[in-house]
Amino acid sequence: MTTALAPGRRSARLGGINPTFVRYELSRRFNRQTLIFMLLLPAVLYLALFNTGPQNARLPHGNFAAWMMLGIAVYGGAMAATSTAATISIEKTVGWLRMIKLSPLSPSAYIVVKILCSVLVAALPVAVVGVLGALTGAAADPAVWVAGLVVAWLGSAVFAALGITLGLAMKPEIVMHMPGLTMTALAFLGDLFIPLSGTMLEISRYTPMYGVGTLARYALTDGYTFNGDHNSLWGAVLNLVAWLFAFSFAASRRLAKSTNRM
Amino acid sequence: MPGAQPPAADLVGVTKRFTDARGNKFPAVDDVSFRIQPGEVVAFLGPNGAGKTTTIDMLLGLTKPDAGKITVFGVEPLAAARTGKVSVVLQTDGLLPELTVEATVRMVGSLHPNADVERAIARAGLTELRNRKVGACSGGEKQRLRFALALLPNPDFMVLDEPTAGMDVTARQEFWAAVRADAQRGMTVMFATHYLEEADRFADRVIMLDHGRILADGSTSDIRAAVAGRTVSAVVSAERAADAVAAVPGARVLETRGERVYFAADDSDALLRALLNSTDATDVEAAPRSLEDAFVAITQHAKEGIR
Repeated sequence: MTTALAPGRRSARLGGINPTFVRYELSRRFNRQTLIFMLLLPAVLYLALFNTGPQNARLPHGNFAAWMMLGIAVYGGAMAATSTAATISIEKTVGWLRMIKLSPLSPSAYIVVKILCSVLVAALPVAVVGVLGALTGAAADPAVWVAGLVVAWLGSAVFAALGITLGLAMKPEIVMHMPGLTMTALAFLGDLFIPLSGTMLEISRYTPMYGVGTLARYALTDGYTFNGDHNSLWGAVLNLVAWLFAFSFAASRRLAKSTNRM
Repeated sequence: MPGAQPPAADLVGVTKRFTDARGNKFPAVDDVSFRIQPGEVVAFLGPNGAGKTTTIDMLLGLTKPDAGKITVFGVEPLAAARTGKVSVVLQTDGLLPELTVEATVRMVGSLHPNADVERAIARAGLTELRNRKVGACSGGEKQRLRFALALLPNPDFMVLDEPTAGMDVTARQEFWAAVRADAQRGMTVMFATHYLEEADRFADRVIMLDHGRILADGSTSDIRAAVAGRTVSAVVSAERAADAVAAVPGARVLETRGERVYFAADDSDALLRALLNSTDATDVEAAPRSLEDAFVAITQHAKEGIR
């Protein structure tokens, strides 16, 4: 006896995610103006800040320029991911999301595609800051370079999820201004630009960029700040996971709401 | 062996209320029930704000009804849409301007198992336009693109929400020719329109909706009969008007506005002759019935128990 395959419709795997869809989704992301802004801002910030370190700053596995490079890489990656993901605002406005809702692609799969593409775009600023670091005398163990830049890159997923939430919550003309402000504020709070200490450092530990920033620098600092405070590895991991979960949850809730007609 | 096929769409007592600017709730769709059998081509006819789009949104599962029940091929609407049994040409944009026509079809096609991108492009008449940016397409071209996207899952039932709004005559004809070809292959079609002529030419059945309620549901010929003829009006005294009406079977006075009397007649020519030959009527006018007249006529038929 032969086993005949049911002639019915093939069910979509992975919630409907497929390479063709991701490729087109990614190609939409490469807009010259936003790319220039995305790359220029972290580059300029790095060049302005890389030699502003405290006098005789010493780190276990590298120098201050490496510390700043990793901080700006996290910031640049986060910014790119947020602003890329926030363009979902336009998709909502033009009714593309309603069409997606009626397709076999599941809502959570759509969020995964959005995060994936935003993280891929975030590789560019991270790479640019890494190259600038190498050119301007950032020095660190090879493991610091690899672990630090990879964490800065992949950690941008947290901010892609934030970008989706912002994009769905706000109108396109407003949302385009949000990533710049929000990300810069979060970067200061997250101990990325200026070494924090005391109460500020304590507050910082609960903010979204602290986790990614601390993890990205962990191989460089072993968790120590310039003042000798210590940030625990698990605290940073917990921070990252908690914020990724929170932002992804908010993004799915927003997505479910925003396909209804106003 | 498959049993009796479930209806393509089955709506029972469907109601949807919205809240207006003053905070008052009003029914956009009010206790609507109808059933569409596989293979039917149904026009959903009504003026703007009649509740057509809201009904379509509920039929696709984009909006949940406040009361009543909807099934599409026997299942919940959103499930039918996501498995591609029903697909839609939405009235709202729904396209990404930065993509090309072909990229849009390929991107959406990648989501539907068994989608035939080339066939959809050809059937929607987009072969020449494949490399054009969506943002540069005309309204009619965009609509054909939406139609191509709707073809991708090989649906058994296609819903179109005012698909030809904003198209010129040629574009409209081309568009309907494409839809027709698919309807003839047995696809169930339901389209919303506010053009009576479109309903008349392309549908087998017309469901008329106004203020969220079904005014009439019948074959196209029923509707055509109700709309046939003209509205006659003239400046004439009440007695003379009564004389003319008495002389012409099926004629009656609808209303009097100032000096002008409005008539309804099954045979408008006979009424015109009577008015001009045997009364002192002046300023006699005969105008084709508007959609509103059709609504009035049909509601009256409905009240008299004729559908």
